[in-house]
Amino acid sequence: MYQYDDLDRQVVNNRVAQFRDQMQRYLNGQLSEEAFLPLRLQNGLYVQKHAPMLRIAVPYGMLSARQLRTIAQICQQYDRDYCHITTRQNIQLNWVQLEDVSAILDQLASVDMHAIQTSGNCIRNTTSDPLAGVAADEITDPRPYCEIIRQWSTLHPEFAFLPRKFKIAVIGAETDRASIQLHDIGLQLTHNDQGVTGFKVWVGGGLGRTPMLASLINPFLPESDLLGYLKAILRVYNRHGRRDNKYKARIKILVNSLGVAEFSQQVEQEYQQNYSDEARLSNQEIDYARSFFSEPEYTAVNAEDLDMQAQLNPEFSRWLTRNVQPHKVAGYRVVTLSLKYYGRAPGDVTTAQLRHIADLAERYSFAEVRSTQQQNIILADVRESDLYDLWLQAREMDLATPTAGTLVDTVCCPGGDFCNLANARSIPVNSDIQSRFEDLDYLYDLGDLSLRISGCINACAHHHIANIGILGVDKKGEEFYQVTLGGETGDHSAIGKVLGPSLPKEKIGDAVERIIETYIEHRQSEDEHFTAAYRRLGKDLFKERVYATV
Amino acid sequence: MQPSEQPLLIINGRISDDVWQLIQADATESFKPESGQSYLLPLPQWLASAPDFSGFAGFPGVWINGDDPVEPLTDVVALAPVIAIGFSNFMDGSGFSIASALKETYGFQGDIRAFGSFLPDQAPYLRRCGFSSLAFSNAADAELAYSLLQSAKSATEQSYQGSVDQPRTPFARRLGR
Ligand code: SF4
Repeated sequence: MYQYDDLDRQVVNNRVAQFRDQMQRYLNGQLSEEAFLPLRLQNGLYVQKHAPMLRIAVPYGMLSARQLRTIAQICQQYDRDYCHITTRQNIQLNWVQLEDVSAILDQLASVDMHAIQTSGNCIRNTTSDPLAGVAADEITDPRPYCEIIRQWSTLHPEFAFLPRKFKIAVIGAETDRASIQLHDIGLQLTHNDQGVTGFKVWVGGGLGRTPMLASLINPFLPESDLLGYLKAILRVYNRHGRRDNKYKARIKILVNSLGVAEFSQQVEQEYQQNYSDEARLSNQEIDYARSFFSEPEYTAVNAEDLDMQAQLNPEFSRWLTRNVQPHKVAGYRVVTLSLKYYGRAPGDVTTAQLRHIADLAERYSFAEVRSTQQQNIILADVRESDLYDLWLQAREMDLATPTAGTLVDTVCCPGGDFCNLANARSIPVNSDIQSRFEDLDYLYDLGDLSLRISGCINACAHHHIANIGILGVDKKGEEFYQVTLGGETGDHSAIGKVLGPSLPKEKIGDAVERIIETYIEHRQSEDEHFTAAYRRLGKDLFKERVYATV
Repeated sequence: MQPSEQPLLIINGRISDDVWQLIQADATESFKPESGQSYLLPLPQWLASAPDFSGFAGFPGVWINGDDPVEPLTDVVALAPVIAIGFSNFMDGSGFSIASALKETYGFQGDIRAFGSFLPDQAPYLRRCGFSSLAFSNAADAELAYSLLQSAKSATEQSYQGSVDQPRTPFARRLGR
């Protein structure tokens, strides 16, 4: 993983000092609430319902064991002994005190972490494939490019006050595990006919009030031109994006109103006009960035007892099936440590768990972990021969719920329990649904199925792209929920369709049960996935069933 | 964007009084230049008078709003000594891109000035995007911006991007390119 050098540290330390000064002026009354707002947001500090919330950047989801321990220490010292993994791979502290924020930032800086640009109308944390570097279908490791983009976008003087937030995702594999088409810019690594590495560039995706999939604006951008081209896109957006209406301010609206052809042409013109050698990435730089992500020293091992262990222990076998994925190197596997323990908010992780995860990473996975958009933790390089021990130890700390990818691997935003913007709570809705699907065999029979719950139209849980999406809406002060069906992520990204009128909180668990029953009764076989069945059967069948009983 | 009568200016890192008088768009009808006074004219007015600025003491400067198109400035960049860019609101960062484009695309060599509603805390970024003067309507803001600019000098040096005048890719300098 990337290692900070002097410059990286100076950048972070300067920002911490600057923020400390801004905070001091704010607390002294020398900086108005209004003026402090964008400055604190650019440093990840929200003011929410109960307490300020601090969002910590986890660049493209990579965390070291040492960083995990520091986060644990911060949770213990300044928060309520837990934190929350967000849908953008970041970490959120929900209960910090304003006065403690500078001290927290110091601690973070001591392990090369920060909260820079985790909120506000600026370029946010670059996200990526949680299987980067270990997926068998990878063409090029996206992380060196993520790191280059991270540095380029960090405290970029031109793009700190954009019309709206701006999100970039990069993948290097055939399969899209980062939903790049739902980002303001999506980049997919590819090679051209001459073997040059470059990117396919999509622009204008996003969820929120007007969900849209991004459009391809450049089928091949040579890697050396990456930063110049990103700058051109951002400059066109910063100059022409709408600022009069928050809901029309994302780049997707600009791309849509200009049309893809015109938008691409403007970017191309901007890019050509300002083409300069200084903006070009040299091979030397790219190689240097790559050097941080070279393969760890894999050792071949023989794991013939894995099958036997699985046969002897059905619980282990379940976990292997659901929470363990193949690795590009024979003898290794990718393990999902689940943060979806029954009865707890999805993505929440306690101090003790954080320390335990750090131990497991050190013992079994080269002292690194990844946070995922699915709000879980991945150990990317586990030897097959270690799986059984790892499973036993993960179980001790409730990190082995064998439900990855199933209906109860819910993605859920903090919702009305924490967030000021919420229309409704999301965590209790999830608990209700979870409690209805405790039978693992039933869950497995349903196969891969995604459920996402957002507490308002900001769609932090990305409910539009769930097979079953739930959105909190406000009806005269009451909590109501809208259900969308048929959304999908990845290569077949699709936006779900609203099923019908919104439902009161008590009815939403029933509605999900009815939807699942309808699917089970009508699917052609166990292999027909929910969305395939939904498309074939049509919305009305599901709608009738759900609304007949409410 | 209504700058006060006597704005204070940070120019080239020093606080000084402003010698440029900004003529509002609605005041151009009755406007007559006084001898010896320097003016910032609204772009349409400037273009209407160009290239003959008889009656003016030297070429007048131009001002535009952050959301105005910059393309009409093509004819301005060679003659105007100052291009002032108005900030309607400190959350509106379009001016940062306009200044950068004036430098990069149009090769403007004169003074690029920010006026209107921006924060002292934005001064270091404004500077790195090519603004060479910042007009403040009160002394406290000007002084704060001045001190922030002083302490931000090393931060600019210690940045990933450099500035519009000296841009760089993140690793370029570290690899001794
Ligand atoms: S979706 Fe709405 S309620 Fe949920 S975290 Fe985002 S802003 Fe808050």
